[in-house]
Amino acid sequence: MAGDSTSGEKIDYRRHLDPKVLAKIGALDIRARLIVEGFISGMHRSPYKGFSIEFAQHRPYTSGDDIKFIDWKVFGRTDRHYIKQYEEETNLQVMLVVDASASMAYSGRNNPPWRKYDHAISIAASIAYVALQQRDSAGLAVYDSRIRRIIRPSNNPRQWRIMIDELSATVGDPKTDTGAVLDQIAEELKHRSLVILVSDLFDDPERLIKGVRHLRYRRHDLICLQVLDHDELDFPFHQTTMFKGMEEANELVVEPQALREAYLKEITEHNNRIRTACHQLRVDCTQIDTSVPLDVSLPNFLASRAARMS
Amino acid sequence: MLLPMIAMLPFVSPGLFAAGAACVSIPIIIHLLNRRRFRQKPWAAMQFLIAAYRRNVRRLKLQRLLLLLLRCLAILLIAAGIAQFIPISRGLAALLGSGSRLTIVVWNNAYPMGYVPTSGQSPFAESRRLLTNWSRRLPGGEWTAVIGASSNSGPLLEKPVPASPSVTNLIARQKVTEGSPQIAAALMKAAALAKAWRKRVAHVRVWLVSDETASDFGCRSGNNPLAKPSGDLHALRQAVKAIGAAGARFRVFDVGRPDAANMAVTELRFTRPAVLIGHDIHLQLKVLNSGAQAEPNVSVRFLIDGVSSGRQTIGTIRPWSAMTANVLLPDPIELPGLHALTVRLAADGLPIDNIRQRVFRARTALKVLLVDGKPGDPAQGVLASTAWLEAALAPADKGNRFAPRRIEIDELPGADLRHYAAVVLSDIAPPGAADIQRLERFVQRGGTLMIYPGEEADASAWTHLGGGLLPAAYGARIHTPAKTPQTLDVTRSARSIMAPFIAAQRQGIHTGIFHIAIHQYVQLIPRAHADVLLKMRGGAPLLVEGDFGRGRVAVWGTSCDTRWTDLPAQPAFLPLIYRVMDQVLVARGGRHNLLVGRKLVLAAGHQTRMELRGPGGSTMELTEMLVGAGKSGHLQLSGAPMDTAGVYRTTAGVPMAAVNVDAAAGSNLAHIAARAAAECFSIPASRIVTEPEELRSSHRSATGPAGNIGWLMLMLGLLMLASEALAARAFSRYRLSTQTMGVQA
Repeated sequence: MAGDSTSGEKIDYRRHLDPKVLAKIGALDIRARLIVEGFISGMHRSPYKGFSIEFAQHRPYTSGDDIKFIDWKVFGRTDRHYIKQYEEETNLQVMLVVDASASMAYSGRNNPPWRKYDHAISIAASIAYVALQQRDSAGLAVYDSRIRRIIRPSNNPRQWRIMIDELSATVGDPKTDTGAVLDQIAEELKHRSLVILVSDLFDDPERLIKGVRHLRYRRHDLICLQVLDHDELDFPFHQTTMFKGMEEANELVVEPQALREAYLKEITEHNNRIRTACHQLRVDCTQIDTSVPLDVSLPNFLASRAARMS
Repeated sequence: MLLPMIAMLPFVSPGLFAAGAACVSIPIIIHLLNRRRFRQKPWAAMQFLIAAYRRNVRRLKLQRLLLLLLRCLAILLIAAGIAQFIPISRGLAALLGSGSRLTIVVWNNAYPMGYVPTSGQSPFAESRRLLTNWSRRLPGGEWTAVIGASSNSGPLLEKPVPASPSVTNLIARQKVTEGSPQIAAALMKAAALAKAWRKRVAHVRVWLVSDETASDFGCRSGNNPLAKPSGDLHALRQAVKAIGAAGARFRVFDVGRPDAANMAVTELRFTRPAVLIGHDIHLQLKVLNSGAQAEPNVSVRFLIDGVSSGRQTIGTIRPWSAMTANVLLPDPIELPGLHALTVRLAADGLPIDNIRQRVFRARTALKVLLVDGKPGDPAQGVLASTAWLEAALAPADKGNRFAPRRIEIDELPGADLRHYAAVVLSDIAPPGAADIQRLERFVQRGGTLMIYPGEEADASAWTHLGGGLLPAAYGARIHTPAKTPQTLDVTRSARSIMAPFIAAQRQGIHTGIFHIAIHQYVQLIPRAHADVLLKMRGGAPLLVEGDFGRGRVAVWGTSCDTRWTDLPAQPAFLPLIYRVMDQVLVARGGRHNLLVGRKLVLAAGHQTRMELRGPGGSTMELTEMLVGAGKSGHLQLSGAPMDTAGVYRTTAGVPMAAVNVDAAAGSNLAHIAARAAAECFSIPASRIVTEPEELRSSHRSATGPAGNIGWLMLMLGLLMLASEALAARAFSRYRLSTQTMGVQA
């Protein structure tokens, strides 16, 4: 069961915050495209009218920052480069939507007991941490066939811990209905937000795309992180095996080698369909293989996203 | 039930194929077990797996079935290949690219093949080497049959079998037999086999592997079988002709030695009907010289019961000829009963025929029953009709060769005829039917019946007895003029009887044989196969002899006493009677002497079984068996055919049988040249291979189809295995290095 943990057990927060991972994420700009647009529009026109664009603080210049935001006066006094930050930057709302259905409890052959869900909550925790560190608001929704718990976005310093507690304690339902959950999230979020969906996307693609479309209609930005185990991508089984469904009470005895090609074709078609729809809706969608370390896959994704946005 | 069915499978090793076929169940069992044995795996992406399965379920089942089929077929083909499948039909063999071939080897394994020359090995050893090498090189599946050409061959491989190591081993294990060569009969068997297999195989060939001696062609002496064509030669030609008619190719491999020389005792017999205690032993033996050189001063050694009885030189024997010698053994037999006589020549390359042995029974005297139709009247000085004969047979008080007993016709029904060697009926009318039957049985069992006519004898009644008992029919009674009586024609009578008289006459000794006056006689009309022993002037038969069963019947044309002839009063009477008795009496003991390959049959007596010890410590058991049915049924002791020459004795040491090789049929080792042999067989000389280095045929070299098919099937089986592996790989399309779905980050 995804996300199950003993209530009396001490939660290891650091488990989800690999310093190596977080250091790399911290060095990259994860702000969503709309927020970037908002920042730029602050210079021209802000999409978030009524929100303050007052100067908030300085921060050291880091590689990748636009040099036009360097405070030259400070440079003249201190001979160091500082970037001026405005209040408007703190208005980014990141909503992490994590799938806790039974299918996420699958753990592959290569790295037991590392489940897809473990991988998903690590991603969610990392992103939330970075967001909160940058004074962005971060929220969390854990779902299976429905939203089990929702934590509204906030930049409260305790927000991250609350989210971690929730992720660790969540118990999933065997069924998944991501489309319906996305519909609900779209209705719940009042401000334009960056919604990060972390799921295996083993769901009805039509309903899923409908939910994505709804989110996009509400002008929310969406990132789909499809977490898949390497077994699901490669199907590397040899012996005759009885596969027992984790979400449905069905089973199938097959010779895996004989069915491998057909299976891979099916799953590829499914993923391609979702990807195509996401692309059309300008939604970033990528697969994350649980066999690839997070400190490789996540920065790669964010770097490529930053490149696209720039 | 199952084993015979397996044996009928068309494979060189049907058992191996059966085992292989049973292995077909292994992939099936594995297949069934795999369906039950699987591991369980919770699976998240079940919807895709089920969709893939639904779309491919028929293909998967078909692939599974195909793989199973390939595995089973591969095992079956490999099993068939290893077991060497044999196409049982000619069509199938042709379809598979090659015709099958049957080679029928007629192998002379008779005793002359065991001749060991001064240098080198025997023809049999040489032929065994050739055949073994040939068999070893035969491709698997080529059919082979081996027929022994010996009277004592026993079954070799008379049913064709595919070439295999077991065939080679069987050939390599063969030993020369002690039987005589029977080439024609063996070739006739080969012809019948070739005819039976003509439709089953593409090619049939018959090979005769022999030493090509004169004996093979039926020569008793000489070195040219064509000089005096025999029945054997005719039979040989007929057999070769039958082989040709069966569509088989005939070829002769001559393993004989042109320089072979052999001496053999081909015949040994007693010249008198019985060996009597205290009397000389008269022998006749025949010695054959089948060499190109004359054998001077041939010496023969005699042994009685293993004790030397002297050595005699019989003379010089010309090349390729036989000599008959009459020998008188100096030492008489002292004890009655069975004895063994051995005649031995100096050893040569074929020692088995240098020895000849004979078991005989020594008797005190031969009993003769004289049945008198005219007993005479001693009071009036009238002699009985058999009185002269009785006096002649037993002239002295003791030491007589014969022991006559005279009875009247009325006493005949009560006489036990089994005790007598001969029964003489003189001047009597034919007895009753019961007595006639007894007499017939007596003669059939080896007795001698002698009949004299007379006043009382009704010639026509005797003639009409029927049954072929008498060797001659009686004709008219002839009275000759007193001044010109009929006389004996000494020169036209049997030389075996007349020889001493003629010799005596030449020495000036008066025997009276030329002056015998016959005043009355009955005309004798000899039946077919009867011998006229004595003739009168003008050729009229005086004594006619004929065989009846194992015995003989002799009919005189004149009386036994002096009423019709003065023969009894002549000095020649006694020796003439003795010569006639020696001629007509049947030598007993024939059942104790036999040739190799024959069964020993003895009268059962009181014993139900008898154990005999033969040469080389071998033992033989004779058991009681009933021969015939009803009144003619009697018990005999009999055993297996005698396959080793020598004397067989009871456990008490009494000789019971002498077994000899048929030297008359086999010991002429004069080698027949290829051209002459070809002429005898009526085949081209090119078909005769002399001094073969190895057995080869110019006939189209047909690789054994079964051998090819065996390899073909083996290869096909391995191909099936490879196909199965490829198919399994193609069906799974499993590539570990391929990432079907790329990971992006």
